[in-house]
Amino acid sequence: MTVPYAVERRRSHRPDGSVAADDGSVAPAVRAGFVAAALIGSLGILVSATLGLTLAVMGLLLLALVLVDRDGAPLLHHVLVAIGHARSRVRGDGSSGETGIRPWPHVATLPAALAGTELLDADCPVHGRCGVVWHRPTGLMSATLLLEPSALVLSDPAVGETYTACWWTLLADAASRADVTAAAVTVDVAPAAGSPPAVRFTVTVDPCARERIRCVTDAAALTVGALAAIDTEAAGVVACRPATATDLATIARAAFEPGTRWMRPGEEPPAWGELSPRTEASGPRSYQHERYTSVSYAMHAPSGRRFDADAVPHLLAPGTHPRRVTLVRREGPRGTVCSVFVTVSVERTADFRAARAELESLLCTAQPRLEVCRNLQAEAFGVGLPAGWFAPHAVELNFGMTP
Amino acid sequence: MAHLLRMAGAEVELLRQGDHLPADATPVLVARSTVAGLDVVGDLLARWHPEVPDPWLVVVSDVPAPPPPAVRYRLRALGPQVERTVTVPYLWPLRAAASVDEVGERRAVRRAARGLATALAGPAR
Repeated sequence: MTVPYAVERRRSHRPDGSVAADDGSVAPAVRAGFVAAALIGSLGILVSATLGLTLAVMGLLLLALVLVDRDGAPLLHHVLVAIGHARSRVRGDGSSGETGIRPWPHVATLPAALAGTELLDADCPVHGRCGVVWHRPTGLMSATLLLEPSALVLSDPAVGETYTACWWTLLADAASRADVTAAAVTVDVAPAAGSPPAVRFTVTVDPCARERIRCVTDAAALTVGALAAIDTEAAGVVACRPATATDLATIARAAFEPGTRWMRPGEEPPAWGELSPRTEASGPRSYQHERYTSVSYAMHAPSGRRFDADAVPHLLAPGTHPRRVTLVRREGPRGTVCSVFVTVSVERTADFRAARAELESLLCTAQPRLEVCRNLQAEAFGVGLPAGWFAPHAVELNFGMTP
Repeated sequence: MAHLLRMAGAEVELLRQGDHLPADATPVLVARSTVAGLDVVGDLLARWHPEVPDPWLVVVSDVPAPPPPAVRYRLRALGPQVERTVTVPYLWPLRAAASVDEVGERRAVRRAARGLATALAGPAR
Protein backbone atom coordinates (compact mmCIF):
# COMPACT_ATOMS: atom_id res chain seq x y z
CA MET A 1 0.00 0.00 0.00
CA THR A 2 1.82 3.03 -1.24
CA VAL A 3 -0.38 5.85 -0.03
CA PRO A 4 -0.53 4.98 3.71
CA TYR A 5 3.23 4.52 3.67
CA ALA A 6 3.67 7.98 2.17
CA VAL A 7 1.37 9.42 4.80
CA GLU A 8 3.30 7.74 7.59
CA ARG A 9 6.56 9.12 6.23
CA ARG A 10 5.13 12.61 6.17
CA ARG A 11 3.75 12.22 9.65
CA SER A 12 7.18 11.38 10.92
CA HIS A 13 8.31 14.89 10.01
CA ARG A 14 5.82 16.45 12.46
CA PRO A 15 6.60 16.19 16.15
CA ASP A 16 2.90 16.32 17.06
CA GLY A 17 2.00 13.70 14.49
CA SER A 18 -0.45 15.97 12.70
CA VAL A 19 -0.82 16.11 8.95
CA ALA A 20 -0.81 19.33 7.02
CA ALA A 21 -1.62 19.64 3.34
CA ASP A 22 1.52 21.59 2.69
CA ASP A 23 4.01 19.25 4.39
CA GLY A 24 4.63 17.21 1.27
CA SER A 25 4.62 20.05 -1.22
CA VAL A 26 6.90 22.42 0.63
CA ALA A 27 9.72 20.05 1.51
CA PRO A 28 11.09 19.63 -2.07
CA ALA A 29 10.86 23.37 -2.56
CA VAL A 30 12.84 23.90 0.63
CA ARG A 31 15.46 21.42 -0.48
CA ALA A 32 15.68 22.97 -3.94
CA GLY A 33 15.81 26.46 -2.49
CA PHE A 34 18.49 25.53 -0.01
CA VAL A 35 20.66 23.86 -2.64
CA ALA A 36 20.14 26.71 -5.10
CA ALA A 37 20.93 29.34 -2.44
CA ALA A 38 24.07 27.45 -1.39
CA LEU A 39 25.29 27.07 -4.98
CA ILE A 40 24.54 30.66 -5.98
CA GLY A 41 26.00 31.97 -2.68
CA SER A 42 29.22 29.98 -3.14
CA LEU A 43 29.48 31.14 -6.74
CA GLY A 44 28.86 34.72 -5.64
CA ILE A 45 31.54 34.58 -2.94
CA LEU A 46 34.02 33.35 -5.54
CA VAL A 47 33.16 36.30 -7.80
CA SER A 48 32.71 39.04 -5.22
CA ALA A 49 32.31 39.14 -1.42
CA THR A 50 29.59 41.84 -1.58
CA LEU A 51 27.59 39.93 -4.17
CA GLY A 52 27.97 36.76 -2.14
CA LEU A 53 26.77 38.46 1.03
CA THR A 54 23.78 39.95 -0.76
CA LEU A 55 22.83 36.61 -2.26
CA ALA A 56 23.27 34.91 1.12
CA VAL A 57 20.93 37.42 2.81
CA MET A 58 18.38 36.98 0.05
CA GLY A 59 18.65 33.21 0.32
CA LEU A 60 18.19 33.31 4.09
CA LEU A 61 15.16 35.55 3.68
CA LEU A 62 13.66 33.11 1.18
CA LEU A 63 14.37 30.21 3.51
CA ALA A 64 12.73 32.04 6.37
CA LEU A 65 9.63 32.65 4.24
CA VAL A 66 9.47 28.97 3.34
CA LEU A 67 10.27 27.51 6.74
CA VAL A 68 8.46 29.81 9.16
CA ASP A 69 4.97 28.50 9.76
CA ARG A 70 2.07 30.82 10.57
CA ASP A 71 -1.48 29.57 11.13
CA GLY A 72 -0.56 26.26 9.56
CA ALA A 73 0.94 27.58 6.32
CA PRO A 74 4.43 28.81 5.37
CA LEU A 75 4.92 32.55 5.58
CA LEU A 76 5.60 32.53 1.83
CA HIS A 77 1.96 31.55 1.20
CA HIS A 78 0.74 34.51 3.28
CA VAL A 79 3.04 36.85 1.35
CA LEU A 80 1.85 35.49 -2.00
CA VAL A 81 -1.80 35.83 -0.94
CA ALA A 82 -1.18 39.39 0.23
CA ILE A 83 0.47 40.23 -3.11
CA GLY A 84 -2.44 38.66 -5.00
CA HIS A 85 -4.93 40.61 -2.89
CA ALA A 86 -3.06 43.87 -3.47
CA ARG A 87 -2.97 43.22 -7.23
CA SER A 88 -6.69 42.45 -7.17
CA ARG A 89 -7.39 45.75 -5.42
CA VAL A 90 -5.24 47.67 -7.91
CA ARG A 91 -7.17 46.07 -10.79
CA GLY A 92 -10.40 47.10 -9.07
CA ASP A 93 -11.82 43.61 -8.55
CA GLY A 94 -14.70 43.63 -6.07
CA SER A 95 -15.21 47.38 -6.23
CA SER A 96 -17.20 47.64 -9.43
CA GLY A 97 -20.12 50.01 -9.84
CA GLU A 98 -22.53 47.23 -8.88
CA THR A 99 -21.62 47.49 -5.22
CA GLY A 100 -21.67 50.12 -2.53
CA ILE A 101 -23.09 53.51 -3.42
CA ARG A 102 -23.28 55.81 -6.41
CA PRO A 103 -24.08 59.51 -6.12
CA TRP A 104 -27.29 60.51 -7.90
CA PRO A 105 -27.14 63.58 -10.18
CA HIS A 106 -28.67 66.66 -8.60
CA VAL A 107 -29.27 70.26 -9.62
CA ALA A 108 -26.68 72.89 -8.77
CA THR A 109 -28.92 74.77 -6.34
CA LEU A 110 -31.33 72.58 -4.44
CA PRO A 111 -34.75 73.89 -3.37
CA ALA A 112 -34.99 75.08 0.25
CA ALA A 113 -36.89 71.95 1.26
CA LEU A 114 -33.96 69.76 0.19
CA ALA A 115 -31.09 72.07 1.10
CA GLY A 116 -27.91 70.26 2.09
CA THR A 117 -29.10 66.85 0.94
CA GLU A 118 -27.58 64.46 -1.55
CA LEU A 119 -29.22 61.40 -3.04
CA LEU A 120 -27.22 58.17 -3.12
CA ASP A 121 -28.04 55.08 -5.13
CA ALA A 122 -27.09 52.38 -2.63
CA ASP A 123 -26.77 48.64 -2.92
CA CYS A 124 -29.47 46.80 -0.97
CA PRO A 125 -29.11 43.09 -0.15
CA VAL A 126 -32.04 41.01 -1.44
CA HIS A 127 -33.92 43.97 -2.97
CA GLY A 128 -31.22 45.24 -5.35
CA ARG A 129 -30.97 49.01 -5.02
CA CYS A 130 -32.18 51.50 -2.43
CA GLY A 131 -32.14 55.29 -2.44
CA VAL A 132 -30.45 56.94 0.54
CA VAL A 133 -30.69 60.66 1.25
CA TRP A 134 -27.59 62.05 2.92
CA HIS A 135 -27.90 65.31 4.83
CA ARG A 136 -24.37 66.64 4.62
CA PRO A 137 -24.57 69.30 7.39
CA THR A 138 -25.64 66.78 10.06
CA GLY A 139 -24.34 63.48 8.70
CA LEU A 140 -27.81 61.96 9.15
CA MET A 141 -29.25 59.72 6.44
CA SER A 142 -32.70 58.54 5.48
CA ALA A 143 -34.17 55.65 3.53
CA THR A 144 -37.75 54.99 2.46
CA LEU A 145 -39.97 51.94 2.25
CA LEU A 146 -42.94 51.90 -0.13
CA LEU A 147 -46.00 50.52 1.66
CA GLU A 148 -48.94 48.59 0.29
CA PRO A 149 -51.71 51.08 -0.60
CA SER A 150 -55.42 50.56 -0.06
CA ALA A 151 -58.17 52.68 -1.57
CA LEU A 152 -60.42 51.88 1.42
CA VAL A 153 -58.17 54.04 3.63
CA LEU A 154 -59.61 57.11 1.93
CA SER A 155 -63.24 56.08 1.62
CA ASP A 156 -63.96 54.16 4.83
CA PRO A 157 -63.20 56.09 8.07
CA ALA A 158 -63.12 52.84 10.08
CA VAL A 159 -60.43 51.42 7.78
CA GLY A 160 -58.64 54.75 7.92
CA GLU A 161 -58.59 54.59 11.73
CA THR A 162 -57.20 51.05 11.68
CA TYR A 163 -54.48 51.96 9.21
CA THR A 164 -53.61 55.10 11.17
CA ALA A 165 -53.24 53.05 14.37
CA CYS A 166 -50.91 50.65 12.51
CA TRP A 167 -48.85 53.54 11.17
CA TRP A 168 -48.42 55.06 14.65
CA THR A 169 -47.36 51.62 15.93
CA LEU A 170 -44.85 51.32 13.09
CA LEU A 171 -43.48 54.78 13.91
CA ALA A 172 -43.18 53.87 17.59
CA ASP A 173 -41.36 50.61 16.74
CA ALA A 174 -38.95 52.45 14.46
CA ALA A 175 -38.31 55.27 16.90
CA SER A 176 -37.51 52.74 19.64
CA ARG A 177 -34.30 51.86 17.80
CA ALA A 178 -31.23 53.66 19.09
CA ASP A 179 -30.03 54.62 15.61
CA VAL A 180 -33.35 56.04 14.36
CA THR A 181 -33.78 59.74 15.10
CA ALA A 182 -37.12 60.22 13.32
CA ALA A 183 -39.69 58.21 11.40
CA ALA A 184 -42.51 59.35 9.16
CA VAL A 185 -45.40 57.84 7.22
CA THR A 186 -46.58 59.95 4.29
CA VAL A 187 -49.83 59.48 2.41
CA ASP A 188 -50.22 61.13 -0.99
CA VAL A 189 -53.96 61.67 -1.49
CA ALA A 190 -54.92 62.17 -5.13
CA PRO A 191 -57.95 64.35 -5.93
CA ALA A 192 -59.83 61.54 -7.66
CA ALA A 193 -61.76 59.34 -5.27
CA GLY A 194 -61.31 55.60 -5.66
CA SER A 195 -57.64 55.55 -6.60
CA PRO A 196 -55.41 54.10 -3.86
CA PRO A 197 -53.10 56.58 -2.14
CA ALA A 198 -49.33 56.29 -2.34
CA VAL A 199 -48.01 55.46 1.13
CA ARG A 200 -44.38 55.47 2.16
CA PHE A 201 -42.40 55.10 5.36
CA THR A 202 -39.22 57.11 5.82
CA VAL A 203 -36.68 56.61 8.60
CA THR A 204 -33.96 59.08 9.50
CA VAL A 205 -30.90 57.30 10.82
CA ASP A 206 -27.89 58.50 12.75
CA PRO A 207 -25.23 56.10 11.40
CA CYS A 208 -22.85 57.06 14.20
CA ALA A 209 -25.31 56.23 16.99
CA ARG A 210 -23.74 52.84 17.74
CA GLU A 211 -20.27 52.97 16.30
CA ARG A 212 -17.83 55.37 14.76
CA ILE A 213 -18.28 55.58 11.01
CA ARG A 214 -15.52 57.00 8.86
CA CYS A 215 -16.86 56.81 5.31
CA VAL A 216 -20.16 57.59 3.67
CA THR A 217 -20.40 54.09 2.14
CA ASP A 218 -20.45 52.49 5.59
CA ALA A 219 -23.02 55.06 6.75
CA ALA A 220 -25.26 54.28 3.76
CA ALA A 221 -24.91 50.53 4.43
CA LEU A 222 -25.98 51.01 8.05
CA THR A 223 -28.95 53.13 6.94
CA VAL A 224 -30.08 50.46 4.48
CA GLY A 225 -29.63 47.85 7.24
CA ALA A 226 -31.61 49.91 9.76
CA LEU A 227 -34.52 50.18 7.33
CA ALA A 228 -34.46 46.43 6.69
CA ALA A 229 -34.33 45.69 10.42
CA ILE A 230 -37.66 47.41 11.13
CA ASP A 231 -40.38 44.78 11.19
CA THR A 232 -43.34 46.32 9.37
CA GLU A 233 -45.46 43.17 9.57
CA ALA A 234 -45.32 43.23 13.37
CA ALA A 235 -47.00 46.65 13.19
CA GLY A 236 -49.64 45.30 10.80
CA VAL A 237 -48.29 47.15 7.79
CA VAL A 238 -47.46 45.46 4.48
CA ALA A 239 -44.30 46.73 2.80
CA CYS A 240 -43.79 46.57 -0.96
CA ARG A 241 -40.07 47.29 -1.32
CA PRO A 242 -37.42 49.89 -0.47
CA ALA A 243 -37.70 53.00 -2.62
CA THR A 244 -34.91 53.25 -5.18
CA ALA A 245 -33.09 56.47 -5.98
CA THR A 246 -35.28 56.76 -9.09
CA ASP A 247 -38.40 56.43 -6.91
CA LEU A 248 -37.21 59.12 -4.49
CA ALA A 249 -36.25 61.56 -7.23
CA THR A 250 -39.57 60.97 -9.00
CA ILE A 251 -41.63 61.36 -5.79
CA ALA A 252 -39.80 64.58 -4.94
CA ARG A 253 -40.30 65.86 -8.49
CA ALA A 254 -44.02 65.03 -8.32
CA ALA A 255 -44.31 66.91 -5.01
CA PHE A 256 -42.85 70.06 -6.53
CA GLU A 257 -44.95 69.71 -9.66
CA PRO A 258 -48.04 67.59 -8.88
CA GLY A 259 -49.25 67.76 -12.49
CA THR A 260 -46.08 66.17 -13.83
CA ARG A 261 -46.45 62.86 -15.60
CA TRP A 262 -44.58 59.89 -14.26
CA MET A 263 -41.50 58.61 -16.00
CA ARG A 264 -41.99 56.25 -18.91
CA PRO A 265 -39.85 53.09 -19.16
CA GLY A 266 -36.47 53.87 -20.67
CA GLU A 267 -36.80 57.57 -19.97
CA GLU A 268 -34.01 59.42 -18.13
CA PRO A 269 -34.94 59.66 -14.41
CA PRO A 270 -35.16 63.15 -12.91
CA ALA A 271 -32.27 64.70 -11.07
CA TRP A 272 -32.54 65.14 -7.30
CA GLY A 273 -34.31 68.38 -6.41
CA GLU A 274 -34.91 69.22 -10.05
CA LEU A 275 -36.68 72.57 -10.04
CA SER A 276 -36.58 75.42 -12.51
CA PRO A 277 -34.33 78.22 -11.29
CA ARG A 278 -36.00 81.20 -9.63
CA THR A 279 -39.37 79.45 -9.34
CA GLU A 280 -39.26 79.05 -5.56
CA ALA A 281 -40.52 81.57 -3.02
CA SER A 282 -41.47 81.00 0.60
CA GLY A 283 -43.94 83.36 2.22
CA PRO A 284 -45.34 83.43 5.76
CA ARG A 285 -48.46 81.44 4.84
CA SER A 286 -47.61 79.80 1.51
CA TYR A 287 -44.77 78.25 -0.48
CA GLN A 288 -44.51 78.76 -4.24
CA HIS A 289 -42.71 76.19 -6.36
CA GLU A 290 -42.77 76.04 -10.15
CA ARG A 291 -46.26 77.31 -11.04
CA TYR A 292 -47.81 75.79 -7.92
CA THR A 293 -48.61 77.26 -4.53
CA SER A 294 -48.71 75.11 -1.39
CA VAL A 295 -49.89 75.70 2.12
CA SER A 296 -48.89 73.48 5.04
CA TYR A 297 -50.50 72.95 8.42
CA ALA A 298 -49.21 71.05 11.42
CA MET A 299 -50.52 69.71 14.69
CA HIS A 300 -48.41 68.49 17.55
CA ALA A 301 -49.60 66.16 20.27
CA PRO A 302 -48.95 67.69 23.68
CA SER A 303 -46.47 65.73 25.77
CA GLY A 304 -48.08 62.59 27.16
CA ARG A 305 -51.18 62.91 24.98
CA ARG A 306 -52.13 61.05 21.82
CA PHE A 307 -54.07 62.17 18.78
CA ASP A 308 -57.74 61.39 18.58
CA ALA A 309 -58.24 58.19 16.61
CA ASP A 310 -60.39 59.95 14.01
CA ALA A 311 -58.13 63.00 13.58
CA VAL A 312 -56.03 61.64 10.75
CA PRO A 313 -58.75 59.74 8.79
CA HIS A 314 -60.60 63.05 8.35
CA LEU A 315 -57.56 64.47 6.61
CA LEU A 316 -57.37 61.51 4.22
CA ALA A 317 -60.72 62.24 2.56
CA PRO A 318 -60.00 63.07 -1.11
CA GLY A 319 -60.54 66.70 -2.02
CA THR A 320 -60.34 68.91 -5.07
CA HIS A 321 -56.55 69.23 -4.98
CA PRO A 322 -53.65 66.84 -4.27
CA ARG A 323 -52.86 66.63 -0.57
CA ARG A 324 -50.00 65.14 1.41
CA VAL A 325 -50.53 63.94 4.99
CA THR A 326 -47.43 63.06 7.01
CA LEU A 327 -47.33 61.43 10.44
CA VAL A 328 -44.01 62.07 12.19
CA ARG A 329 -42.49 60.67 15.33
CA ARG A 330 -39.14 62.06 16.34
CA GLU A 331 -36.95 62.68 19.33
CA GLY A 332 -37.05 66.32 20.42
CA PRO A 333 -35.03 68.08 23.09
CA ARG A 334 -37.84 67.48 25.62
CA GLY A 335 -38.68 63.91 24.62
CA THR A 336 -40.65 62.17 21.90
CA VAL A 337 -42.76 64.40 19.67
CA CYS A 338 -45.63 63.21 17.49
CA SER A 339 -46.76 65.54 14.71
CA VAL A 340 -49.08 65.51 11.73
CA PHE A 341 -48.33 67.72 8.74
CA VAL A 342 -50.76 68.42 5.92
CA THR A 343 -49.78 70.10 2.65
CA VAL A 344 -52.13 71.00 -0.18
CA SER A 345 -50.87 72.25 -3.56
CA VAL A 346 -52.81 74.19 -6.21
CA GLU A 347 -51.84 75.14 -9.73
CA ARG A 348 -53.91 78.28 -10.27
CA THR A 349 -53.60 81.16 -7.83
CA ALA A 350 -57.37 81.66 -8.07
CA ASP A 351 -57.89 78.19 -6.55
CA PHE A 352 -55.66 78.84 -3.56
CA ARG A 353 -58.32 80.45 -1.36
CA ALA A 354 -60.86 77.69 -2.09
CA ALA A 355 -58.28 74.96 -1.45
CA ARG A 356 -57.37 76.48 1.89
CA ALA A 357 -61.02 76.78 2.86
CA GLU A 358 -61.59 73.14 1.90
CA LEU A 359 -58.62 71.99 3.97
CA GLU A 360 -59.59 74.15 6.96
CA SER A 361 -63.09 72.69 6.88
CA LEU A 362 -61.47 69.26 7.36
CA LEU A 363 -59.14 70.57 10.01
CA CYS A 364 -61.85 72.06 12.20
CA THR A 365 -63.04 68.57 13.09
CA ALA A 366 -59.53 67.32 13.98
CA GLN A 367 -58.30 67.48 17.56
CA PRO A 368 -55.86 68.85 18.55
CA ARG A 369 -56.26 71.75 16.13
CA LEU A 370 -53.97 72.08 13.11
CA GLU A 371 -52.23 75.39 12.75
CA VAL A 372 -50.70 76.96 9.72
CA CYS A 373 -46.88 76.73 9.74
CA ARG A 374 -46.26 80.45 9.77
CA ASN A 375 -42.91 81.48 8.26
CA LEU A 376 -41.92 77.81 7.98
CA GLN A 377 -43.80 76.89 4.82
CA ALA A 378 -40.79 75.62 2.86
CA GLU A 379 -39.63 73.52 5.82
CA ALA A 380 -43.13 72.11 6.40
CA PHE A 381 -43.40 71.30 2.69
CA GLY A 382 -40.12 69.37 3.00
CA VAL A 383 -41.47 67.15 5.81
CA GLY A 384 -43.64 65.29 3.31
CA LEU A 385 -40.77 64.68 0.91
CA PRO A 386 -38.97 61.31 1.14
CA ALA A 387 -35.87 63.00 2.48
CA GLY A 388 -36.05 62.49 6.26
CA TRP A 389 -36.23 64.77 9.25
CA PHE A 390 -32.99 66.56 9.88
CA ALA A 391 -32.23 68.59 12.97
CA PRO A 392 -31.89 72.31 12.17
CA HIS A 393 -28.57 72.46 13.97
CA ALA A 394 -25.28 71.08 12.65
CA VAL A 395 -23.71 68.21 14.55
CA GLU A 396 -20.16 66.95 14.61
CA LEU A 397 -19.26 65.46 11.26
CA ASN A 398 -17.93 61.96 11.70
CA PHE A 399 -17.44 61.30 8.03
CA GLY A 400 -17.02 63.67 5.17
CA MET A 401 -15.71 61.54 2.39
CA THR A 402 -17.17 62.06 -1.02
CA PRO A 403 -18.49 58.69 -2.23
CA MET B 1 -18.37 25.23 11.80
CA ALA B 2 -20.48 23.00 14.03
CA HIS B 3 -17.23 21.30 15.17
CA LEU B 4 -15.65 24.66 15.91
CA LEU B 5 -18.71 25.75 17.87
CA ARG B 6 -18.59 22.50 19.84
CA MET B 7 -14.91 23.09 20.49
CA ALA B 8 -15.99 26.51 21.74
CA GLY B 9 -18.14 24.73 24.33
CA ALA B 10 -21.51 25.21 22.67
CA GLU B 11 -24.18 22.57 22.23
CA VAL B 12 -24.93 22.63 18.53
CA GLU B 13 -27.93 21.40 16.62
CA LEU B 14 -28.03 21.78 12.85
CA LEU B 15 -31.40 22.95 11.56
CA ARG B 16 -32.83 22.92 8.09
CA GLN B 17 -35.09 25.61 6.72
CA GLY B 18 -38.54 25.19 8.25
CA ASP B 19 -37.31 23.28 11.32
CA HIS B 20 -38.42 24.55 14.71
CA LEU B 21 -35.85 26.31 16.81
CA PRO B 22 -35.56 24.61 20.22
CA ALA B 23 -36.62 26.75 23.17
CA ASP B 24 -33.84 28.85 24.72
CA ALA B 25 -31.56 28.15 21.75
CA THR B 26 -29.61 30.92 20.07
CA PRO B 27 -29.94 30.86 16.28
CA VAL B 28 -26.61 31.16 14.48
CA LEU B 29 -26.29 31.73 10.75
CA VAL B 30 -22.99 30.69 9.19
CA ALA B 31 -21.88 32.17 5.88
CA ARG B 32 -18.79 32.47 3.74
CA SER B 33 -17.30 35.93 3.50
CA THR B 34 -18.42 36.32 -0.12
CA VAL B 35 -21.14 38.39 -1.72
CA ALA B 36 -23.04 35.23 -2.66
CA GLY B 37 -22.80 33.86 0.89
CA LEU B 38 -24.02 37.07 2.48
CA ASP B 39 -26.83 37.46 -0.06
CA VAL B 40 -28.16 34.09 1.08
CA VAL B 41 -28.07 35.41 4.65
CA GLY B 42 -29.89 38.57 3.54
CA ASP B 43 -32.55 36.44 1.88
CA LEU B 44 -33.00 34.38 5.05
CA LEU B 45 -33.19 37.49 7.22
CA ALA B 46 -35.82 39.01 4.94
CA ARG B 47 -38.02 35.99 5.68
CA TRP B 48 -37.04 35.72 9.36
CA HIS B 49 -40.01 35.01 11.61
CA PRO B 50 -40.61 38.02 13.85
CA GLU B 51 -41.07 35.85 16.94
CA VAL B 52 -37.73 34.07 16.51
CA PRO B 53 -34.88 35.94 18.22
CA ASP B 54 -32.45 37.76 15.96
CA PRO B 55 -29.66 35.36 14.95
CA TRP B 56 -25.92 35.67 15.40
CA LEU B 57 -24.00 35.80 12.18
CA VAL B 58 -20.74 33.85 11.91
CA VAL B 59 -18.79 34.81 8.82
CA VAL B 60 -16.04 32.40 7.78
CA SER B 61 -13.24 33.98 5.78
CA ASP B 62 -12.86 32.25 2.45
CA VAL B 63 -9.35 33.59 1.85
CA PRO B 64 -6.61 34.79 4.21
CA ALA B 65 -7.13 38.40 3.15
CA PRO B 66 -9.33 41.33 4.14
CA PRO B 67 -12.85 41.23 2.63
CA PRO B 68 -13.44 43.23 -0.57
CA PRO B 69 -15.55 46.42 -0.39
CA ALA B 70 -18.71 44.64 -1.58
CA VAL B 71 -18.48 42.15 1.29
CA ARG B 72 -17.70 44.87 3.84
CA TYR B 73 -20.74 46.81 2.60
CA ARG B 74 -23.02 43.81 3.02
CA LEU B 75 -21.67 43.05 6.48
CA ARG B 76 -22.53 46.62 7.49
CA ALA B 77 -25.96 46.44 5.89
CA LEU B 78 -26.81 43.13 7.55
CA GLY B 79 -25.43 44.25 10.92
CA PRO B 80 -28.62 45.91 12.21
CA GLN B 81 -30.63 42.77 11.43
CA VAL B 82 -28.50 40.35 13.46
CA GLU B 83 -27.68 40.14 17.13
CA ARG B 84 -23.97 40.30 16.47
CA THR B 85 -21.48 39.46 13.74
CA VAL B 86 -18.46 37.24 14.45
CA THR B 87 -15.70 36.67 11.92
CA VAL B 88 -13.76 33.39 11.84
CA PRO B 89 -10.36 33.73 10.14
CA TYR B 90 -9.30 31.56 7.24
CA LEU B 91 -7.90 28.33 8.65
CA TRP B 92 -5.13 26.81 6.55
CA PRO B 93 -5.07 23.48 8.41
CA LEU B 94 -8.67 22.75 7.45
CA ARG B 95 -7.68 22.45 3.80
CA ALA B 96 -5.99 19.13 4.44
CA ALA B 97 -8.36 17.74 7.02
CA ALA B 98 -11.51 15.68 6.54
CA SER B 99 -12.95 17.15 9.74
CA VAL B 100 -12.02 19.80 12.28
CA ASP B 101 -11.30 17.10 14.86
CA GLU B 102 -8.21 16.02 12.90
CA VAL B 103 -6.64 19.44 13.26
CA GLY B 104 -8.33 20.49 16.49
CA GLU B 105 -5.01 20.68 18.30
CA ARG B 106 -3.42 23.03 15.78
CA ARG B 107 -2.77 26.44 17.23
CA ALA B 108 -4.71 28.36 14.58
CA VAL B 109 -7.79 26.17 15.01
CA ARG B 110 -7.66 26.36 18.79
CA ARG B 111 -7.30 30.13 18.58
CA ALA B 112 -10.30 30.39 16.23
CA ALA B 113 -12.44 28.22 18.53
CA ARG B 114 -11.38 30.28 21.54
CA GLY B 115 -12.22 33.52 19.72
CA LEU B 116 -15.61 32.14 18.75
CA ALA B 117 -16.32 31.09 22.34
CA THR B 118 -15.33 34.52 23.66
CA ALA B 119 -17.52 36.27 21.09
CA LEU B 120 -20.54 34.07 21.76
CA ALA B 121 -20.16 34.53 25.51
CA GLY B 122 -19.83 38.29 25.09
CA PRO B 123 -22.56 40.88 25.35
CA ALA B 124 -25.25 40.90 22.69
CA ARG B 125 -26.30 43.99 20.75
